[in-house]
Amino acid sequence: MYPNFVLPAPLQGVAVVTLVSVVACALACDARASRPAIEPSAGDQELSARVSAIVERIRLLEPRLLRDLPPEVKIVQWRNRRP
Amino acid sequence: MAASSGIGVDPAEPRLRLLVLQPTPFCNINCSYCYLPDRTARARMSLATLDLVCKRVFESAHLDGKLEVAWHGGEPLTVPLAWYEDALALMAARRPAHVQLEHVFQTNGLLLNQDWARFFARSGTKVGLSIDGPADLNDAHRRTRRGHGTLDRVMRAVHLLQDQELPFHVITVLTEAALDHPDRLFDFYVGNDIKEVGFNIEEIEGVNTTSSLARHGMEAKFRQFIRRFFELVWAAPGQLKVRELESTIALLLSDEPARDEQNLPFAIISVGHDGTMSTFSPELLGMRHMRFEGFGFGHVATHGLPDLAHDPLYRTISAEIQRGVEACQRECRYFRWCGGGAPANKLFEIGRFDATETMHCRLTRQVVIDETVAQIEARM
Repeated sequence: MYPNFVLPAPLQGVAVVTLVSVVACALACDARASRPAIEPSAGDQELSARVSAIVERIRLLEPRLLRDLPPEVKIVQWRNRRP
Repeated sequence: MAASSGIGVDPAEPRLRLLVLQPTPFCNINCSYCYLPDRTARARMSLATLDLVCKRVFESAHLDGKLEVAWHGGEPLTVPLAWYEDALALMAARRPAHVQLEHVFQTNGLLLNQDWARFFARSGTKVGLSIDGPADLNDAHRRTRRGHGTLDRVMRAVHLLQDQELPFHVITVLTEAALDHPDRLFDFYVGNDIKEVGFNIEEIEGVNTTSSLARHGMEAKFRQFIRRFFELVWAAPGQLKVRELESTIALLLSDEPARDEQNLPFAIISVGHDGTMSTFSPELLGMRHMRFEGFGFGHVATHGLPDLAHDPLYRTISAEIQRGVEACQRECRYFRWCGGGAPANKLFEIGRFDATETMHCRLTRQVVIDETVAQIEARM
């Protein structure tokens, strides 16, 4: 799915490489680097602002992930498509 | 034959991404939530019709280098294996050299045996199995016409595919009863070495005019289910690939607004067993609705794909769908990551394609986006 993306070392060997695993790994590594945690936002903050904060953090941690997103994942798929 | 033109196909739109073929409307089981009106009809697509499908699709200027071909029914495995041997050979012979075909069968698995598994292996076909979880959940809804449960037989298909090391995914339909069991469902997939799952919901669509998820309080219960299931997936990254999480993270990270292939003309082409062609939501094909006599916009014997855009019914429906997408864009804060929703759900829940919010979008888009964002934020 992400042919150009080189897996972080902690994920090499997992059963299924997923975006969840890549993002979880990046955020966990970041937490270990003692970066201040961001307070989880409640519904009162604009959704778009919350998503922007996520994107910026991921861009900082794993810029290749955003750069290598294939075009097909930018389309919402029919419900009987495979995962 | 009508003249072909590019009307209705914006070059800026995504290419033809998915060809849904319905080899038969017949299904060998009788799920309680099935939306198909003609699932007892035993009609089949002929190879001559498929040959015309190839002609129409492969002559299209909107083909990309890869085309996913989804064999969908009805139950596709009720058509003999020998037919598919010929069908896939025919499509391979007819395809343009630059187009790679990727075949996917979505099946209930009851008829899947060694012969089918060997066929899937040698043709490189992907398989999706419909399983709703442990027996009490699966067999409450997925039953034979005599009322027997189907889990034992579909699990034989799971083991057969696993024995042959054939990759497959599972699609689970969530009903009210399933929402109490996120942990059991997660354990069911992981315990059975199922690696990929997608969640559908019990939809109000076609002949299924009610849903247990439309009852009072179900949205909150659905949210709790998704929250817990996502927690389990995040806690064990790499164990289970969940379609909804993967696609939502990708959409959140994308630098472009989402588009929904179901409301983009000609991103999906659906063809019925008789050669009737449609676009937009694949489940519209074969459906009936009080406002429309049908949803076929042409026939492979008489129409090229661009000709469908001249059909008056197409023009009416396409314009109504576009108004619905524009209304979603004006009104909904989730539009950036949704793309305007599924036309079939708008029509069958609200009665119009230019409607906006549906139960389907609240559950499968809004709740899923909310909970995905919350899961990521909790780890930041």
